[in-house]
Amino acid sequence: MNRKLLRRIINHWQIYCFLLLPLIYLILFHYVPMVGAQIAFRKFTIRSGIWGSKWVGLDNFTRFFKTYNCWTIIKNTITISGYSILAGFPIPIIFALLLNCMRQERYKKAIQTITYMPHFISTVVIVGMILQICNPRVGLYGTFAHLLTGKYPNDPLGNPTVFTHLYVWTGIWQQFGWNAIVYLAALSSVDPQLHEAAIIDGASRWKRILQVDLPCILPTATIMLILRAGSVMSVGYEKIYLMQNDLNIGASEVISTYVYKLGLGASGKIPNYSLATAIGLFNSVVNLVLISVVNAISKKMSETSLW
Amino acid sequence: MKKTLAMVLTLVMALAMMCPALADSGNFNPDGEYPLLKEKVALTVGIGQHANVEDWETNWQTLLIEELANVDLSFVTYGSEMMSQITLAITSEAELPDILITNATSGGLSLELLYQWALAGKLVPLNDYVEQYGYYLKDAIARTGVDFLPLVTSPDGCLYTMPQYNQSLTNEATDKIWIYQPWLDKLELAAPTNAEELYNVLKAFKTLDPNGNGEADEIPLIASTNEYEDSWWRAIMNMYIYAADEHQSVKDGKVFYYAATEEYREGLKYIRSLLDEGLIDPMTFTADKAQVRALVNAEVPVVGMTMGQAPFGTVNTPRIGEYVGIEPFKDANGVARTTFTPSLPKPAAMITNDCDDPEAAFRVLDLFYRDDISIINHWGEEGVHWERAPEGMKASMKNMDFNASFKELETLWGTVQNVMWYQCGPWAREYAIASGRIIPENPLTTAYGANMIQYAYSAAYPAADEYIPRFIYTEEESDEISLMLTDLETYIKTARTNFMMNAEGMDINSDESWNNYLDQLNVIGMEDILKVQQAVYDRMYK
Repeated sequence: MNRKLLRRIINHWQIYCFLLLPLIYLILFHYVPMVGAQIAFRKFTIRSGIWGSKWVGLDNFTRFFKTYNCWTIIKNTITISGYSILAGFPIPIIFALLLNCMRQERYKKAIQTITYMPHFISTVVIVGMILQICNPRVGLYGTFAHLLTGKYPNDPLGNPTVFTHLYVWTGIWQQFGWNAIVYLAALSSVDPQLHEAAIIDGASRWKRILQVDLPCILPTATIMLILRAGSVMSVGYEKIYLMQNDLNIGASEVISTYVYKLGLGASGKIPNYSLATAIGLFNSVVNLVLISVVNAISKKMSETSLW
Repeated sequence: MKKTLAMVLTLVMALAMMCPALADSGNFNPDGEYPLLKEKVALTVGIGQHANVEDWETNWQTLLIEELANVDLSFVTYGSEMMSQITLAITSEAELPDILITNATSGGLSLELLYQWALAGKLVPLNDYVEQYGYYLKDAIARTGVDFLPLVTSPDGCLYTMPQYNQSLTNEATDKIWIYQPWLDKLELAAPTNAEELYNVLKAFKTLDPNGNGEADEIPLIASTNEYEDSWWRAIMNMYIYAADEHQSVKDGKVFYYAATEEYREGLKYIRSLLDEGLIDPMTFTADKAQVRALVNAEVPVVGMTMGQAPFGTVNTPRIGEYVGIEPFKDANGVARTTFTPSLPKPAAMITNDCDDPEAAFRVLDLFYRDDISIINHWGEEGVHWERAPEGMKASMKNMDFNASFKELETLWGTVQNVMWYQCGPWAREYAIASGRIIPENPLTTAYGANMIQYAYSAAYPAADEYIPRFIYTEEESDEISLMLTDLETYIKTARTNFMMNAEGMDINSDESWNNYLDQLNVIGMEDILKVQQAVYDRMYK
């Protein structure tokens, strides 16, 4: 087996050369930095460096769990992330199925382009737009509410409950077109014979979506879900950090923003790299466990799995 | 006498701490002669990117320095995360530029982090250089009348940075109160001076339709989140207790958190009542300066009051000129107080030990302290963007005796320009410069308004033993409390907002809520922090 593989590599060495660049990239930027993750177990000081700092074992982890808002932060992270998955996962699939049914090619292309365009707008601009639109006085939301009710509404960004919805749904709006591309690609590879056979059997359009298209993209969808499960504990910090304010902080402080504040010393004090790394590491471990569990479940139930 | 003593002390300290001694260099012209260096020296400067500076290499001020000092400066620019980039470079023992210059947009450098860099052995201690070559720096100390170097000296007795030091009266009291004068005139009201009057004026703004459009769209009071770190509430809190910039105050030599006092609670109750009645707009917690500015400049005036140093930004409109600064509010005993942020030096430039010619680098940085270059660094080229005021002219600052210093001809501040360094790097300006600036009366601006009312704020500063200029922690101290401090400040801030808004179950009127809050402060470690800070205070100011 091994010898066979080796022979194959030697025979097709040109092709394997292509693999070299990504491999170097992975090693340099993903494996080498892991050496630095050890500062999660050390009391890192700039003077002593990574290897010279004092070993403190799990101190940094216990320190994190002792911070007064640790559980709020974890809860917020899981809520926002879980909500994003629940609401955001089916939408691109439904959208791709709908788009796939469309007969007019040009129309379809136009819609697809328009829906994935927001993906390319930078986070800062998106948040700027959200803040602008949601302003209860001078924004679109405020102006309309004033026209309809004669009163100025409350500020949605100052409300922790509304914040979560706002964060999740703006995210969905921005990404669903882009995320649908994968499914559209999967749908385009559905064998036309299947559809023809279904038509001959008298299946309606609706039935064909359910019985032909959906099963065909199910493996893709499963893989996407497994991958997504691997990032339950991570919520990207840029957008949420930009949308944060004193009023919604009860719902908007998540692990990544907390780590950012600690690690990059947003408060202007000495950044606490060790603690920030420890939290990050804890995060990654939980993510790894989750992805493994979901993968195992999926393997058992549908025989689709990552490994 | 005092100077000699200071010099002797510095010398003794330098010897005791064994900051490395200097070797003489033959490349210097005598003090006060140009160019500073006989032979050209090339230096690299690591500097934080600045949105208002086009290009450091071709900047007019750069060229001026290069000519006067006979140096060739080349720049390495850093982004907004400059501090962590440098820290990582130090950790990984990468080479650093000869000179590091930080600025506010790159996060600002704390003294604690500066000391960490120094302990890592990457910064050159400058005590001896100041003695030997600090020609303009010594002049700056004489000009300002304050030996500001000890306030940026690290706990080991070595000076690792050349600071920038701005003595500015208007920046010392940033919580100014602004009111829309036309409304006061129309409703025939006087400017409020205490809690009761403030309530009445706000109520009148809210209910009497001062803008006359028949709609209850007036916002009696609004502030923004990014005007001096949402400090608007301090202008009100000062009626109850002195609200220091950081959360600690000092009384009878004892450091304490004023956020844990009954007076603070009373202040919060009052603010909550204003919010409950819609007299303060809750957008205060979410809107930034630009949004408040948009409201202020709306077609029909809607904003009655606001707080801050330049609450609407630096660019003026006719509407903004109609807002008038009023005196700080008085407490129940008729005492006016305002939050005092003393003029303190900030770390600005460092020389790294990757520099081959630190003497030359020091002399170049020293040149930045020349009095006119200190002005150039903010206002641009002399004769083009500003000119000296004629002898004997009085400054426009009301009720305060200052000679006019200079007059601005063309405003560069707030624009993208390539003339000056936008206050990056070392410089020092004494009170007389900023306070003597001639600000034209027409059009009315908030800068002019601030000059008209500054005397009232200067009179409301706390006594010298009631505020803490700055804590300089040793490494152990900082290590012990830094995490708790971050947590405590975040918690106090969040709790304050919740108490004001009656949100998240935090009701300031309920004793249970308040006691929970106090308990939480102690759980986070307020007592431990105070113990350390008391020690630092005793060491530094007793």
